[in-house]
Amino acid sequence: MIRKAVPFGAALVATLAFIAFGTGWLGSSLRLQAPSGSLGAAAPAATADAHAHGGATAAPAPVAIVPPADGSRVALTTARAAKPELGYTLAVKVTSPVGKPVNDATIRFYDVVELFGQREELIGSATTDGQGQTAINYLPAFTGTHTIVARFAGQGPLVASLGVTDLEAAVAAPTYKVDQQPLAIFTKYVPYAAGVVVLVVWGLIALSLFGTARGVIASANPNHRKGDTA
Amino acid sequence: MAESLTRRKMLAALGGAGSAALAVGLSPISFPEADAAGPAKPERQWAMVIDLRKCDGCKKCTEACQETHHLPQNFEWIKVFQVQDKSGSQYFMPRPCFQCENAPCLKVCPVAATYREADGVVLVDQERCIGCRMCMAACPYGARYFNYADPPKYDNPFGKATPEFPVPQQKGTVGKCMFCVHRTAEGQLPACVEACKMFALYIGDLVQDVATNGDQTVRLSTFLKENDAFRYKDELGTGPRVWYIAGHGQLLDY
Amino acid sequence: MERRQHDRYIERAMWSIGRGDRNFWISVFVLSALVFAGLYAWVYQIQRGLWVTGLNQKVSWGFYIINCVFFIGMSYGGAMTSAILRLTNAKWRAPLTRLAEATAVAALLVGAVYPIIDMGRPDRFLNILFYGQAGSPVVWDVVAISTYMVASLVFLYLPLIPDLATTRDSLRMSRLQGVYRFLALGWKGTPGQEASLQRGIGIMAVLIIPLAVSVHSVLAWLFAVTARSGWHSTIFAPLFVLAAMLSGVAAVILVIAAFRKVYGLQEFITAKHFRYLSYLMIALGAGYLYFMVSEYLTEGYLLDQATAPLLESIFIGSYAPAFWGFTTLGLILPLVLAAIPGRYVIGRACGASLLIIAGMWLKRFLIVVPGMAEPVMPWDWGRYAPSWVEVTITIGSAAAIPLILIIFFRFFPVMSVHEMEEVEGAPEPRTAVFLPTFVEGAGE
Repeated sequence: MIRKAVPFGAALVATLAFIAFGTGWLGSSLRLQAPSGSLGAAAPAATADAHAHGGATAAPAPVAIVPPADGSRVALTTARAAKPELGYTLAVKVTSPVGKPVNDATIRFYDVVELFGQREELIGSATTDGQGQTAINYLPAFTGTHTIVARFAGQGPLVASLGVTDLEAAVAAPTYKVDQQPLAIFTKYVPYAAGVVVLVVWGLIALSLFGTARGVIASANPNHRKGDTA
Repeated sequence: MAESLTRRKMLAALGGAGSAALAVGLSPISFPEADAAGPAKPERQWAMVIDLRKCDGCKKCTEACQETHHLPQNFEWIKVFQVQDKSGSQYFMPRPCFQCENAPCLKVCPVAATYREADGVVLVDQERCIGCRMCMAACPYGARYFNYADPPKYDNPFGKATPEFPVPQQKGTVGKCMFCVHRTAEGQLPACVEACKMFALYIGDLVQDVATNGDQTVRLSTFLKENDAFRYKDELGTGPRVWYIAGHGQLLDY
Repeated sequence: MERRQHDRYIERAMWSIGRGDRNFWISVFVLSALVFAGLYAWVYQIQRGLWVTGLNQKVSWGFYIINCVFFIGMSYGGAMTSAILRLTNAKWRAPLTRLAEATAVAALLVGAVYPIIDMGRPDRFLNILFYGQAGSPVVWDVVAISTYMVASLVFLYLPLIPDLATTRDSLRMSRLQGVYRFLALGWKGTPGQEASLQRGIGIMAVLIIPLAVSVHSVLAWLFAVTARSGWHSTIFAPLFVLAAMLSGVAAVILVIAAFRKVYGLQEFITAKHFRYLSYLMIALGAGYLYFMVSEYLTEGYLLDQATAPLLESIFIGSYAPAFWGFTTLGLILPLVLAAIPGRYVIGRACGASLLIIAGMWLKRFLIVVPGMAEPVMPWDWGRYAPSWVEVTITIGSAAAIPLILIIFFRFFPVMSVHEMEEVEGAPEPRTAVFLPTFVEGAGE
């Protein structure tokens, strides 16, 4: 009986150790498929929906693109910047209703983004020169179509006005990357090494217990030499 | 011949036994989540910015959080600390969960009940949590709360509490701030951001590099850079997803 | 050893088997009552939840984690006295090993329950097997403790085989005869059997030491891998191992003193044994003192912003009475008590051991609770006072150790007969007794 128990015991130990360790590593990779509740699953649909309906769900700040009241103009043009890493040059020329350039006008530039509804993301500001002109460089966070808004808050008798244009961005800032864990390339193997050690230890314990039991039973008769009974 | 063989065997056996403790000693860290980069193009990477210049310590964020998640009074998933400066001035510091990129709580969880979503938010699966509270010991920010007693009664309209909407909390498990993923998934601001009357809290997305406090929307990286944003206990290498902008509650004109 | 003394040794070793005198039953009754009180408190806690403890959001580990470390530490006496004395072939070990090994198993069984008591959802304990994360110190604990427990049981069982045969042959207890026969594996004492047994014990004696070291190292890493000041210390693992050895030897001294008195073993367990164990305890205690000074000195010299309030609370603040009480009464005084030469060796060894054990519990308290109470967001300290549930469970678990021991020794010899015969029977002292047999056995 004990002799049968030897391979059985060894198999049991190995199985237990595999369950304890194997599932651990499997578990960590399986875990990537996170349990998603009803709400989590609904996430992409909700975002797409908000986009389609102009951010109806939250929409605290819809973009108010209305023509200037008094006819002052903010002419907004875009062009590739001199250096690719600067992205695009957003240039404006501000003119009064009678066509005179407006200097010292503070222009705020916005990019219309989709974040809890459509919002105007402030991307920079600049002050016009004597020609009523100013420009900023803008490297978008992602490629594709951007709606750029340049807003003039008004100055003296001039009321607020704005210019809008689409920017078809072909270059963009590098996408945010989650830092790789330091030493990850090394540490990911450490559990396997520890697992091997644990298996060796369990093997030695099993050897000690079952080997002794086997030896004691086999050598019970002093007249028999070792191995005869096997 | 026989002797050398046995000696070798003995040495091998001894080496195996002796190195057991040693090798266990060499294995204190593994980062199973290091490989977990998520899908190829994540939609969002959520982050938060807390402008301490604006915070007046009204704790509306805490109240809104507790109301949204049906938490008892002492569960301050976003907790407002009153900090006394050496110079005599004081400021308020709201502390949500920092959703660390190298989260200590995630590493120490024995059953992976704490895990990271593709959007960077660290969630707790209370169906799996065994309540060992190792994560509470490991969190350097005290952001985790253990449900010692039964949470307040609440009928979840979705039938069952999920990691994304862990309401009601389960007794005997750990819970924490999860950036209101149940609200952000539906295009709503997190409860604390929406509740902040000072617009001190910004929720943002690192991929599209944008953050909003519900009033203004800023370019996240520029905003952090221009305002000398810092991360609390950044030196621990936890990689928090929450930035602070230092200040003492002074008025700002933007 | 003369024949007469040899017979008396066997008689005393087997004396307690099957014997239930009045003292035995009173002890069993009292200890069981305490254990049941502890079990009641545990059931009470399981039914209601952990809010019945004094734990809270800031101090989320308390008595249970302290007790886990404390009781598992006490089990080190077995590994230390038995395995090391075996490996060094110290002849005087013969009457002690059985008691030491049984103490190890009893303390370990108690200590290993504490992680489960501490869990918020003990019903999900098996999740550790289903979803175990190799990177979690809790999983390391489960693996290390279960390995160590199996190894301790094997290490208790193997030297017991010949004694089981003696029991089988000398006692006629009809109901248990079959059990002894099964467990004795047909032991007759043939040379082949001796060789097998020595090889098995040899492997375990070597293995049990790194295993014991690994268990407390892993327990220490439970604390040391966190970013908490006072816990995040590279010296923690060896510090814990030394503390465990120290309390383990102290526990063995107390256990053998008690059994010596009650089971009438004075003739075989003598002042010499206590003196030797005291020496071991002094060496370990001095080592612990050194580690402790090293730890506090490196932390206290730099005194960074996170550590300063912790050390302040320990050295001069609210934990100062506990700390200085431990240092003077729980460490230095017992070491002096055990070290000074003179009379009352046994009494002094026991007194010193009691103080050491109380001191080591206090030290674990000083590691766990202030480390938890010190705020990670540096503005609000936590408070912790245990509830009656925690105190009752602690007392009940402490009572479980002597209960397990006296029940165990009602069925098994209290001293190793075979080992005595082996030690006394050997005409000359053999050096490193296990190694040659181990090699021979492996070579065959």
